Amino acid sequence: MRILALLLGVKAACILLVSSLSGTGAVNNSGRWWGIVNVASSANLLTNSKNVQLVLDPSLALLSRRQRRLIRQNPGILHAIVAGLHAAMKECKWQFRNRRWNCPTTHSPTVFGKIVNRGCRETAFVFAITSAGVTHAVARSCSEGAIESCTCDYRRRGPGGPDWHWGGCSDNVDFGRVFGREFVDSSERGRDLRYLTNLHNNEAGRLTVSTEMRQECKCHGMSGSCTIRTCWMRLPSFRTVGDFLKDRFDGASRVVYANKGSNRASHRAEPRHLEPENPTHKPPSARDLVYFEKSPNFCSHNGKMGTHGTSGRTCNSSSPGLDGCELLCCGRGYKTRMEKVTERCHCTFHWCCHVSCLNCTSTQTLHQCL
Amino acid sequence: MASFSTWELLQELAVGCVFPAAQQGFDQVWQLLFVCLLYRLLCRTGLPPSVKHLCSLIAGVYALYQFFELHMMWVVLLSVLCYLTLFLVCYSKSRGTFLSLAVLIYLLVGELHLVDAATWLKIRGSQMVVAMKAISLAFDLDRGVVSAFPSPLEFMGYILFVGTVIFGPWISFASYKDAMESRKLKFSWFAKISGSWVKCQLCLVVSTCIAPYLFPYLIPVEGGESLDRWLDAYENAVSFHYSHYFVSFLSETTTTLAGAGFTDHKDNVKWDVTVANPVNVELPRSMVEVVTSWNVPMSRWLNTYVFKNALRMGTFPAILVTYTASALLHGLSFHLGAVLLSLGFITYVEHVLRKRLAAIFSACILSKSCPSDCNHQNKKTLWVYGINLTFSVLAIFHLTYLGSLFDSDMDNMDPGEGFLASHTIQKWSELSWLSHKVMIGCFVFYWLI
Repeated sequence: MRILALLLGVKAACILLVSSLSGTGAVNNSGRWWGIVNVASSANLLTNSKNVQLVLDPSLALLSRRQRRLIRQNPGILHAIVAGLHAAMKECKWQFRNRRWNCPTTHSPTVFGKIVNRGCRETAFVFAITSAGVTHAVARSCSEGAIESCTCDYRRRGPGGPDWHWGGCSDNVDFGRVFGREFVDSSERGRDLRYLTNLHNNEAGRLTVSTEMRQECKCHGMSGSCTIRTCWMRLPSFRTVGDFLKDRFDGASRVVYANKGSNRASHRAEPRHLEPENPTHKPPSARDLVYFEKSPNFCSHNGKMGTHGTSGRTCNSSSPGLDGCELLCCGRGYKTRMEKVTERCHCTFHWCCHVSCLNCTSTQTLHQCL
Repeated sequence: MASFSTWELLQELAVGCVFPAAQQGFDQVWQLLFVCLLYRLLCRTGLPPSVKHLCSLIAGVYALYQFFELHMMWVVLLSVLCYLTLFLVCYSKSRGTFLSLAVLIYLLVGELHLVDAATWLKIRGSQMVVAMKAISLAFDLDRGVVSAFPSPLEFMGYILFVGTVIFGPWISFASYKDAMESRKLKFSWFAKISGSWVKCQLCLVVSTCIAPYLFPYLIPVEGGESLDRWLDAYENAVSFHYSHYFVSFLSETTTTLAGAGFTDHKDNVKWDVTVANPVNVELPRSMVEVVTSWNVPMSRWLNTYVFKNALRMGTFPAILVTYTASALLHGLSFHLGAVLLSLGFITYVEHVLRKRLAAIFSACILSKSCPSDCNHQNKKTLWVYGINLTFSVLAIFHLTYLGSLFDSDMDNMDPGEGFLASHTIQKWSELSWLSHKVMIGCFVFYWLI
């Protein structure tokens, strides 16, 4: 009897252990699909993405079953997703090139590293930009005819003005948003603050893409003059999206779970939502980025946090800003060395039609954080 | 999210693009069409000619106002300036040259200093028609084709003739007079109008809804990066061509509706105004044929009033002068200048090469198809067709290359000179300047044989 009780106890402990492990597993699951960016490019999967067989490839095991089904149902979309992720990573690196955290990525399946399991501003940006990247790329691919299940969006028509306005082939941002919601958000599990924050930031990314759509027109008239025009809606450039999200990054609001401490009945009655931590602040809008945890200072290498530190980074000795050596090196100081740089110069245009350049060597002063 | 079939795509196209295009298109031009019809009916009445000229003038100004609002004053100003110049030199023997200079100065000053680029782009088409009409009238006076010096009312009625003032095409003073005298309202007239209108709508649909979709949706061709670039260029070119046909057929409609553009065959009236000939452009025999079929009235105008006047300088300089005149009329934009000059060289090289080859082989492989009584020995053999086909493919290649410039970036960027120049160079570098290289290759080949 006692043994049985012991066994039961051990079993209960095991279940607890397993469930806690799976709990962390669920956390690690968020953003797991980002890994396909490495898998797909290394396995050369994309040479024939319309082939259904490839979707069943075990190297896509990073995706959930639902995500794999979505890819199978929309032939050609894997291309768009991977392209969107690449664009998002590139944009993230560009936007953060001068900061202590410079959006490092790895070739392992966890692309952005451990930062995604935290809840700081940087995490918010990573979620928003990747979600925006997928929506952007999918919407563009639709209008280019690269995805078999969607086409141009012909419903977007401007008002008939003094010039003619009617629909041409608009980028299909509605499809991009719906698909993004199904595909990207499905990797988030749970009901906690992290879950809500990640979903909010994903949606903020998608919303940015669709609200920044702009009108583009084609002229008709005698020999290319612009007597009348046809117009359609075009996606913003991804740089615009990145700039916008960076602005929101700087003004991100720190949030807490709504109705903390209230009784269960009212908690159930109200939908779960986020509230600003400081009650005097106004609640975050749908396009704002939200976070719930202070950022680490990213100064030194920290395996647990997954930060690389700033030692070895090049800095600008004359800048008082974030890229200046003072701030970037966290006061540790920097070493200076001279480096010979060879670049193309004195380029001249020859008729017709090539450009020839000389190689110029110059010495540049490089500052590197200690 | 099931797969889209071609049928569903067509349905989507019909509901989303074709119907709104047709409906909203009609919403915007019905006033112009209505005024044209009104003028035609008015001409059927027995009013004195001066009243008819006045009505033409008023209708023209009204149409201009409908499309350009107050910017129309630049067009009216140009026509007044033309008449003043013509009036000042009315006893000279070279009124055409004087007027051409005046128009040139006005266009240059207007483009560079007076008017902002967006407005200029909008009214450029109308300016071109006005300029062409005025210059042709001046040369006709010099040559004695038009005997009496026109009164101000006559002149303005012709220049601002409602059927041609917005979308062109150029018509001669004589055909304006004929239109005023008016022919009976017959079925053939109505048939011509409906035909042109239907074609105009079709071309609009192709330009906005179908051309951007050509590859790989409608024609499943996919390839490497360089092939994709050429397919993309072809899409742009087709979209641009059909936009032009749309305007051309629209101008046919308005011209015919206003009662102009017919020829008399004994007592039989034929409504046969043709502005563009799409088949000859999309499936060309030669680049020369493309250039003449692109805008038939304009190429006739260039031939009669520029090329023939410049011919005493020699053939090649005359060709250059003609294309330069065309470029100046089109406005001083880098990309149009580049396209038109390239066209000049391409057509010249093609013309001389095919002439030489035709002489060597004694075959019907000239730029223009042989008349039935030509004295070539080889007319319908297989290899003659083969050579002609090769030149056709070459022409399509040149057209793709030249048309790649006219993509949607072109219409949406601030039309500054710097942008247009860098855009042109970037687009053509992407296609590795292949067309120009082929042209030079052809010329070297011509020079060797």
